[in-house]
Amino acid sequence: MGGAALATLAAAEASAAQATGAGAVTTTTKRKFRYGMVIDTWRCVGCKACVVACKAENKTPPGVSYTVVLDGVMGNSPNDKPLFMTKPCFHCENPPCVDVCPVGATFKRSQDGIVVVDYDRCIGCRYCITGCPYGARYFDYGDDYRQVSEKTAWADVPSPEYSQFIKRKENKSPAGNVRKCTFCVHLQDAEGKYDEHGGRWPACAKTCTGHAIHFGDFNDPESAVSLLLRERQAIRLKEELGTNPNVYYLL
Amino acid sequence: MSTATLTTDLPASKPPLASNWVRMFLIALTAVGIPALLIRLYAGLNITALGSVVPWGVWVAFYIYFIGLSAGSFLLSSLIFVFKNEELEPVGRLAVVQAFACLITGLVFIFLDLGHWERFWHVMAYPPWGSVLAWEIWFYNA
Repeated sequence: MGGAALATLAAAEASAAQATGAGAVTTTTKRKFRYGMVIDTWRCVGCKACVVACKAENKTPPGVSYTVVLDGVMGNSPNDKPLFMTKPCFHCENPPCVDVCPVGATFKRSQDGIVVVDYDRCIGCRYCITGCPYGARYFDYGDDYRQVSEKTAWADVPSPEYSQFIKRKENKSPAGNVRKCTFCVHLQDAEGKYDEHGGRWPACAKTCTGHAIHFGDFNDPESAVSLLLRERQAIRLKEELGTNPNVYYLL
Repeated sequence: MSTATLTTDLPASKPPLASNWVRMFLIALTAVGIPALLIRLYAGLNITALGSVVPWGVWVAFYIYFIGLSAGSFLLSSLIFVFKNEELEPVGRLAVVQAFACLITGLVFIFLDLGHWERFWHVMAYPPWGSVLAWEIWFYNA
């Protein structure tokens, strides 16, 4: 009797530990999908192909880059190992940018947890930029690359973002809006799934030359990202803020 | 004899608010400022040289400054009209006027700072209860 109670207690403790620790990825949330990334800093060579691929995919103007590559030196390690890492939006479970929006224009999608911006609602106050602790948001000041401002054929290429296919016009959204990484949400199929081998995959992960960016569903225990988190040591940035980001870094 | 001394030579029943030089300076400032305002409203925010690293500029600082002034003036006026402090009676009406003027100025500054200023009414129309900034704007307008 007592032994059985002890066993259930131990089981409860184990599951609690799983839910709070790094093993949190194995617990399924209420959402259908929980998309996220695992970025392997051992494999990243700092080529910035992800930055270029994101620009080509989302047709972002100058000053807006949904992912950037940080480079630095990891101190306190033998021979001061160089460290490259790409930094997209982390699509936090508890996103501070969503809480601060005065018009409710940015929100976390209920089906897959991707944080998106409603371009028609956003008034461009840029509070979310100051609210994001990771600097993942960018304001579209309405600048254009020369090819677009001179009305060459490039100006007629719409951005597939949010499947809205907006052509760039002066002072019309998304100019004057805050923009951010969407995990290329326009590449999802009707069920909200991505397809790695069919090419419907976030542009940065698809193009990564060193195979450093791994994208997938944390709700699926057999996905590549879940496997990586079980096998390797992962960290998240600014864990102490309680934002619970969905992008992990392998060191 | 300059115009400045002319104005001071007037009868002291109603002292002038400012000398003619100050008035001319202010008119010149307005003459520069109004076209600049229209250019900003027409051309968008890229003329401000702000970026995504420094998203808020001096407009937000001015907004905070004027809102602070407004709150202080309103507090002062409440001392007089609510708590009946008679020592402060002479500045009572001035405090109320200044509170109102500063509030309007502050809100104009934040209006100028919006990327899509034509959508400012969204703050009233789509209320997110968790946002501090939305509460601020509601209280200022109430």
